[in-house]
Amino acid sequence: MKPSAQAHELAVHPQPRRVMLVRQRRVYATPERAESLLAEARRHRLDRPDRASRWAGLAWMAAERVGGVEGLRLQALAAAEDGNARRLLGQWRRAESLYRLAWSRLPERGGGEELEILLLEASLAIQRETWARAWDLLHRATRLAEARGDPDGLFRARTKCGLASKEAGRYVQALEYLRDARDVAPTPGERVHALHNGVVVYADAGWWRDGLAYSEVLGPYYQALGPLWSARGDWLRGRLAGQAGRWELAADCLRRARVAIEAHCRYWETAEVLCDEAEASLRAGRVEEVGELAYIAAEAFRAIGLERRARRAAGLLRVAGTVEGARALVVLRGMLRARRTSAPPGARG
Amino acid sequence: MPKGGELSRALRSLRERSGLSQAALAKACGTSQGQVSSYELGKADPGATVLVRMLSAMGYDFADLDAALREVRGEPPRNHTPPPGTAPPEARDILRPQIEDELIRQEVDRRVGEILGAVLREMTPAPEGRSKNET
Repeated sequence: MKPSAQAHELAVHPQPRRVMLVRQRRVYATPERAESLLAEARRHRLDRPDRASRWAGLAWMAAERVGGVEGLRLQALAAAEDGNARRLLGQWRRAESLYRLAWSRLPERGGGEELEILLLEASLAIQRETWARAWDLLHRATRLAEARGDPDGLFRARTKCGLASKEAGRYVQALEYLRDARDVAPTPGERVHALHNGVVVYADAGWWRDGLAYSEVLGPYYQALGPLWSARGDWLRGRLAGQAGRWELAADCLRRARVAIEAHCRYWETAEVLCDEAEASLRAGRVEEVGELAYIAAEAFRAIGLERRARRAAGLLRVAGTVEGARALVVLRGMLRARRTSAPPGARG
Repeated sequence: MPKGGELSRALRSLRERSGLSQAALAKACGTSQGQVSSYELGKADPGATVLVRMLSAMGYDFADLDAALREVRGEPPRNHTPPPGTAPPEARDILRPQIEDELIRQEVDRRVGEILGAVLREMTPAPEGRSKNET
């Protein structure tokens, strides 16, 4: 079987087949294989950081066997991807050492790989609130994207600048960066993405009155981007309605969002929206729903290794005071295992 | 010092908000209904003592009179705080034009799509044996 065919098979076959292929060491030493494993890691980037880390580890091993400049390039990307997954899992020290590793393997400067590492490392700096470092990385990423004439890279860099400003509580500055991101957005979908982020800034700033109005206006555009984005629009509207004290509306919006996001098997987002829905239901007086929602959220967060977030869900569960009842309900309905039973990717070796 | 017309309109507005009739207010502050009417029409100046008594009878103070005068003049209230959940103007000035621009763009795209669709339908020959109108 040709390497490209192997890579294709890896990409299209379901999980057990992929795991089997990964274990066949004879197919390790191809750039296509490493690229394919890296693509798997990226696919899980914002959903299953635990899996993303495992796939990135496999990509690293494959890249090591490729050798040469291409192998180094792939190693740098794999290390950075693993670093990002570790960051999301809260393993910041490990993430830092992986980024150092990525820089040490980068064969040449000024390429798309450097931009990728800069943006991923900036996320760690933002999460750690080391703002000087974060802005240094983001400015370097912006300059690099401009020098390369890379609209997608520039869009990502400016979006990340906006999100960094938002995290730092500089909401107006965040909106300015997001406006710049929209100005360079390569596709209509990314333009709507930038506007969505703008409304997210409004929600974080507590400007729900305007935010609700904007999210209503953006509704049809979310629909044009597909059901997942439509669900994200509902989620945002639910958050804003909650801030406005309209808890019934919030709970309804969040339920719609959760059902749609669940259907896309998005672990992380499902758990997040479950938490928000549990809180809205609690405030709306639908206490009987809270325990089950919060229990599933806590389990989902634990399944992907996000313990801090699992604790938030567990807190809601305690508030609902229905721990045992909720557990029994979930076990009875078989909700957890019936819906998400895809096995983790194979071991590194 | 407020102009006579402004003060009279502010006093009338405060009295109406308090729910008192001219007669009731006059009785509460020891004057006549005709006198209250002339204050509200700007025909007479109530003077400081009567003004304090009128405000007190209506349950207001000078801060309320000041707010009523600003309202009459069309000025924003002092220490104006926007309602909760409202974005500051500088934030609105950034996001709102973008959303409006997106609305225009999408509307233009939709209309262009409709026109192109119509043109293409015109250009596409009708299947044999069927006239255009049959479709």
